[in-house]
Amino acid sequence: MSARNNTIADPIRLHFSDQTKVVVTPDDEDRFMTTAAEAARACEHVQNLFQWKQEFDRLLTHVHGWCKARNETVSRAYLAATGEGLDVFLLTAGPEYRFDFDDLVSELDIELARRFKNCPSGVTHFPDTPSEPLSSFFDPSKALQLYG
Amino acid sequence: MASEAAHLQKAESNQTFLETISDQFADWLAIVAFYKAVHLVEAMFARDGDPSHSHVDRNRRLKQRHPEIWLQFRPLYDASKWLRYTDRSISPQRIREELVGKRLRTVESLIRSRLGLT
Repeated sequence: MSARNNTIADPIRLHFSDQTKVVVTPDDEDRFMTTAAEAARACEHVQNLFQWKQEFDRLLTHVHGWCKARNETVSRAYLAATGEGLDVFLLTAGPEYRFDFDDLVSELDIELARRFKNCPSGVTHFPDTPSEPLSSFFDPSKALQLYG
Repeated sequence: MASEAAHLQKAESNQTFLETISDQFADWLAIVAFYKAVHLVEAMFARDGDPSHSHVDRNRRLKQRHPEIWLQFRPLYDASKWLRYTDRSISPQRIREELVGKRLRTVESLIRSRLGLT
């Protein structure tokens, strides 16, 4: 690790193979010691997490916009974590199962897989009927409502 | 691991059953159509010696590697799931037209073509 001259012009450098001891001082002063290598991995992890969050937010925005553009068909949309991973549930207006919506939903499903590779998800649609418990498919209390 | 031939035989068996299902049990038309499609897809995967391990795995691979099949398979997956887990129904005529006559037939045609069975 090269932290001798800690200036803007000379940034601290962390290398994944550097076993130099590093003392980390959090805001609450609960100091701990690690190595430059571990600190580098922690930075990488946070960077990956930040990028994932950005992609996740773009996914939410994209699905919202997609639903809004089809507001005559889609009444509500949710994103839920299920046993199958992340699932987008599109609830369609009216009591009938919308076979005529299948191709559009499949295209959205494929588009999400291509554009948001770090947030793999599936897309499902079914009629939005008051008597239908959403809990048959996901836990509404833990789902994000994306539209409606 | 089941062979390609075993999956195709199971698909044929499901087809035989499908033809016996009356309108009274229309939900089962959709469910059996889906299971037949699953065996057709698994026959294709078996050809490559790479069977799927779950619905999630199968769906992911279809979506990524065979999107033209996924476009036809996904409606079978979705509708049969909805019919399995809710008390709602779809008219037998619509199921026969949309799922059996259109989606399943196209899945079968695409896969048989890929396997050189047409």
